[in-house]
Amino acid sequence: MEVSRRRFLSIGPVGVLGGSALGFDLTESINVKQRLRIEGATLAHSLCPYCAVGCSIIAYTRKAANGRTELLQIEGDPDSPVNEGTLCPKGATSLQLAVSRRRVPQPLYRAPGAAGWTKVSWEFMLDRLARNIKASRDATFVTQDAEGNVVNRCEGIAFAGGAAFSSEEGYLATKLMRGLGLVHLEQQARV
Amino acid sequence: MYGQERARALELRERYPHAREVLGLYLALVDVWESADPGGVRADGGSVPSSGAGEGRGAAPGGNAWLEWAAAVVLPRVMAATAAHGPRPLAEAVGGVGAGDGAGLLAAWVAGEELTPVERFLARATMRVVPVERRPESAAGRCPACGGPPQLSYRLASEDPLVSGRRMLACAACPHEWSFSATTCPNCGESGKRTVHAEAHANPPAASPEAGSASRTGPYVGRHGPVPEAMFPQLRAESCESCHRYLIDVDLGRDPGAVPRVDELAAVPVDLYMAEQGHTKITANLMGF
Repeated sequence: MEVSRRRFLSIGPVGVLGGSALGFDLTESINVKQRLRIEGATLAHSLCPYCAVGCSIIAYTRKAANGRTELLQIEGDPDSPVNEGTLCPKGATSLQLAVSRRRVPQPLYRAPGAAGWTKVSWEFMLDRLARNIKASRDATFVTQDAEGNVVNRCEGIAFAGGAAFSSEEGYLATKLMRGLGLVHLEQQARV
Repeated sequence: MYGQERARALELRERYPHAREVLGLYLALVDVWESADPGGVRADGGSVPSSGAGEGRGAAPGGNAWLEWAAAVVLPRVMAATAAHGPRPLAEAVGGVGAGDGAGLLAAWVAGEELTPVERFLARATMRVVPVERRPESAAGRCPACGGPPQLSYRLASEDPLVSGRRMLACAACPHEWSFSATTCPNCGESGKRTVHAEAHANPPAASPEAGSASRTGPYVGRHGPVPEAMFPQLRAESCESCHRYLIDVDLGRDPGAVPRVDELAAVPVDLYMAEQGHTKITANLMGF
């Protein structure tokens, strides 16, 4: 029979019988769904912590059963005009900074002549660093060059700043190191 | 185009028994589209093909001539294919009627009128071979060609494992596909509350201290390969926690042979899971999922 458009009828309430709006049998799909183990991960924007290129990263995280946020995976952000989804091998493995079982969670110290490392407190480590810096500076500080010019510089210590420094952090680091007389300043941006 | 879709539908019909009914009907429709669209009319937006139906030859795409041609030539074939290969309730609903005011049905679909699921199915299946009117001005997340909603999302394959492929959206109303932000909801524009739903290990492997790896739990997302036992290695769902809409996302990096529009039809169990989680697809696909 010929019918008007409004006489195309919707199929009845098959949904309650395990069917779809168009009458497809969903029994097998429901069985598959019950066997599937699907979990959700949240997307977050981040930045590669290494060099000064500043590649954009998409980080996938999820809330673990203990309430902590777990980092699952990272990838280059394809929307970023900086890296267009690419990551260098170093950036691509930056996930390991957070999840590697080999990550050192606290300072380790190997005393002169010792064969192994021992765990130490941050207080011990910072104090030790300060003492070593002072000792190196005292031992290598040059007040005059070969021509007798006053130079007041420390030639025994080099400093490498972080590529992800903000301008303020970079300014502070440079001021501090110049104040100590360092002349060998470098940035990880070029490493 | 149709050959690729046919081959993939045949492959997935064997791989996924749950999708046999859906893909069986889709294969029948592919035959209809191919016979009605021998020169790729949808692709080039050319003149109305010869059909012996009315005054349509040479009319501008998007005009009534196209709808009359589609109602006279394509709709009856779609209905016959549906009656022969569709699920019984749909076949019975379609098999007992003539095309009636087919042009009116198609015009209502184009105008965005409220239609029943059966009407929507018939209109969409018929309009597959009809060029849609181009609307260059469209909202973000809508098709730049016709203004239609996105049907699915897919990631382009990348030859380099360190490179993430761009995200593309495929239109529900026309064949157009366009590049779109990988982390923005196409429905509401939210970019801070995106969730990716993917398969995870049923039994996570133990940690490997020698390799320095932690125990691998959670969904396999991003550059990860799929879970070894994954049923849908190429599929995931992306939802927005702001508007609670989602899209099926097909990763061509994980399966270069995937045909997004076909693979999305096989994702019914994922659709059911997402419905269970309280999410609604931005727009239902041709088969109503």
